[in-house]
Amino acid sequence: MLRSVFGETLWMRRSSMLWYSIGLTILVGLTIAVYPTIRDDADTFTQLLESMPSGMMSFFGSSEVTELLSPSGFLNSRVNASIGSIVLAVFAISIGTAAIAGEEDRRTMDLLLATPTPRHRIVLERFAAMTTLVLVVAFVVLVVMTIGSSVVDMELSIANMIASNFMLALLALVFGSLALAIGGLTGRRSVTVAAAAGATVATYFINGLAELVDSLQGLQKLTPFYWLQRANPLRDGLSIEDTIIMLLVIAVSLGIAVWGFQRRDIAVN
Amino acid sequence: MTPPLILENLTKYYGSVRGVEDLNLEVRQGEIFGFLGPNGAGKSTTISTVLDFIRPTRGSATILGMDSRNKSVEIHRLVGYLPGELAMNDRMTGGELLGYLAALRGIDASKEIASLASRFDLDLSRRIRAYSSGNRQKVGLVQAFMHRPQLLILDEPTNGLDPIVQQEFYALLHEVSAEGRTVFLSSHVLPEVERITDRAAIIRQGRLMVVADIEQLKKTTQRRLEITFADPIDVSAFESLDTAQTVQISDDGYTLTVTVTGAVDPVIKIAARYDVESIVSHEGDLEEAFLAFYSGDTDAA
Ligand SMILES: Nc1ncnc2c1ncn2[C@@H]1O[C@H](COP(=O)(O)OP(=O)(O)O)[C@@H](O)[C@H]1O
Ligand SMILES: [Mg+2]
Repeated sequence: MLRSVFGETLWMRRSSMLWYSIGLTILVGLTIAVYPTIRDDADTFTQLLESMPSGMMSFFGSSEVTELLSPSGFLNSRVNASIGSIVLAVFAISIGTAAIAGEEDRRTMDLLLATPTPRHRIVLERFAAMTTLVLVVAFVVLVVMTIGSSVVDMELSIANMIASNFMLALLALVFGSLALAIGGLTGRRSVTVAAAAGATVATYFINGLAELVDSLQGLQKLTPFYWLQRANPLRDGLSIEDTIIMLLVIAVSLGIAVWGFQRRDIAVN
Repeated sequence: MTPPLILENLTKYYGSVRGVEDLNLEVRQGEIFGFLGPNGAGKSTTISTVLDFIRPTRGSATILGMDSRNKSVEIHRLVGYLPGELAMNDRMTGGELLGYLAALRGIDASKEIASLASRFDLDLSRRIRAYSSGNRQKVGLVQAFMHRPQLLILDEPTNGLDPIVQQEFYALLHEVSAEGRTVFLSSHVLPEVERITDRAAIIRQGRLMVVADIEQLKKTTQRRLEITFADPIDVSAFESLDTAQTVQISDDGYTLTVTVTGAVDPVIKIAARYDVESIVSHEGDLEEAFLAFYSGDTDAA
């Protein structure tokens, strides 16, 4: 594995990739495991949900009760609209931060740059490794979802599950690439973590609160969480438009990361 | 033959803080060149600029005929670098890190790595985290030498090395130089530079003071000798020596203090005419002497 920057990045992340996969497997597995209880006792849960303010429900990815209690709505609320997307984004951010800013923070960048490796290549290989790692974890989630949903008869289409987890990975990569870009521009780990994590939390709440606060609705359209679940991909499949938006944001961030890293002094000593 | 390293008005400011200013220097092929200066003088700044980790405010560096900014990747292929403050991914073993860095150079350096590691008595199978600082420095040296670079740029290379390993390292430097490869090393220790380099530059507060030939320097370093005699002496014989810079005698006439440039032998010969009770030799501020002589300061030279 230690033959390239790409391989080294995968190798150094092997155990964290395993832990994130285990965590999301537990989350998705448990979510699917409790679904039959909810389905069998739909009346109670309908009452419970109807008593909630609608704004709060929007944090679950939908304000329609029947939609929320459907297999796709329920799974979407627990994975895409909440902890699942955040967890995968955190994974991507940690990789995106370590890629440049982390390497500089440890003062190991000079040793790496002293080899005949162009700066842009370091950024691109680290990006490729981040993408691979996030896709692998998303694939694990897809497998768990496919097996789990068929065990409890959730009747979800495989194509939609693929679409949903692909878009989930893209959302994580939006934040991971943002971290890569800030790291490329600044080389400062603390700044990068704060900015990328701050952006994740802020956009998550803007997206959720927009249902309650009308003035946030313009901003909502700028949040990656909106792009992920404006349409529920588990129900409606891949949203081409939102996928393209996320891919574009990722590409622009990557471009900024390369440009930012090439133009500046790196931290040595 | 183009010099392997040329600095032309190389200047680096960190905002308003001067790193280095207007450095002009040519290092010759096959020599061991010392870059001497106290902490904060700008040694690491110069090296980082030469290797394109940081960019000059003005001026240029040409390495093996290539511009440091435009050809950095090609330059890195031919240069071996040892950081001043060596930091490494300490979750890898020494062997893993060296294999990785060799792979990034696109070479199989396993033979060279094994031979360097045995020379330095370095166990490559342990995690870098578990290494002593001396062993870390050895890993740093191995990665700098493993691809047999044309030019070695070593920032304070003997930091943390024990004396035996230091000897081995000096021997390696001489082999490299005998092969016509060039070594540029920084140090804040004059005796070390005196011992191992052919020529040296002194840098202070970001400015290059002098470039000196070490053989010549050895002839010109100042020492202060304190000689106590059994009887009062006549100082005129000492005063007439060309190499005696200052000659002082204590009030009682027993203790002589002489500052000598270069060989102390003539002073000793004169002293031997009398009954000597003790001689104390102070290595004066060698660096001061160095600077004084090469900047043509008349008081000292
Ligand atoms: N990243 C930096 N930012 C600001 N000042 C710096 C930076 N690096 C070095 N300096 C300053 O530049 C000068 C030269 O430092 P350096 O090249 O590290 O010296 P040396 O390696 O000779 O000890 C010092 O005054 C130091 O404080
Ligand atoms: Mg230094």
